[in-house]
Amino acid sequence: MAEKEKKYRILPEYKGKTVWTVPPDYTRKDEGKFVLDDNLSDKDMGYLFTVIKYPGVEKVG
Amino acid sequence: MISLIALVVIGMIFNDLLVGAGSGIGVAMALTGYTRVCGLQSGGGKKLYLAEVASVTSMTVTSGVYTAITMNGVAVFKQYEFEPDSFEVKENSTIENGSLKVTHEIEFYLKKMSDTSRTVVSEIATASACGLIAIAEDNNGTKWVVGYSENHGKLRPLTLSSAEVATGKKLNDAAGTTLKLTSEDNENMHTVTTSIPV
Repeated sequence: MAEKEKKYRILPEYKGKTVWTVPPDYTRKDEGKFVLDDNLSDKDMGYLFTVIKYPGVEKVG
Repeated sequence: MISLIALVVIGMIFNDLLVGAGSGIGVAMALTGYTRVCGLQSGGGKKLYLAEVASVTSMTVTSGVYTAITMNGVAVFKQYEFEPDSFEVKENSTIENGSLKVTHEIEFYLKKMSDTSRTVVSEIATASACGLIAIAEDNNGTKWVVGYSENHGKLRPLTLSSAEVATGKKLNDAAGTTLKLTSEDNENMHTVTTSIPV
């Protein structure tokens, strides 16, 4: 089964960093801590992009 | 007459450019007034976190508040505990020759002289070579970033300005270490709403 296409991506210069923000209103184990690697979910990236306006994440396309 | 009108128009354009230039120094800013808030408050602080400059990549500001802290890899801030009522954050804005300077100072006291307190002084002194960034939580629960600013980023961090160790003289004198960290830039401290990277 093909991997679901992601709507967001991490900018290369931010990969490997860790960002600490206000915890989102959905439940996640690390709360406000986001490790910027390939395991970061699209939902988390969407939160960083849309709510936090985080400069290390961009919308694809 | 025409040159007078031209001067006025140029002046208006220049003023608009200043207002729209962002949060940098020298930017014209309209007064918005201040509404007094009734309610009890507390002085002093309860928590201090320090990180070496190299540990922090950047901070993201939204409407004057830091809403994200990006750390290099797994680097974190370290908490420094202190004696109750010994902690203070001070900020002093001065203007001389039309130039703004903001001095930030953090002071705290470690009770009892020991090898542990000696290590604290030593590691903060060593880290001062490149500088430190602090998150200071006051007794009202507000967290302040010191040593990082929008105008200078990590270029003007905190450094150790003094670490005074004293035994006192009498049996009932205080014995311990007073540490002072200072930084200078041209911007007032911002608050931070993120989880603390610890």
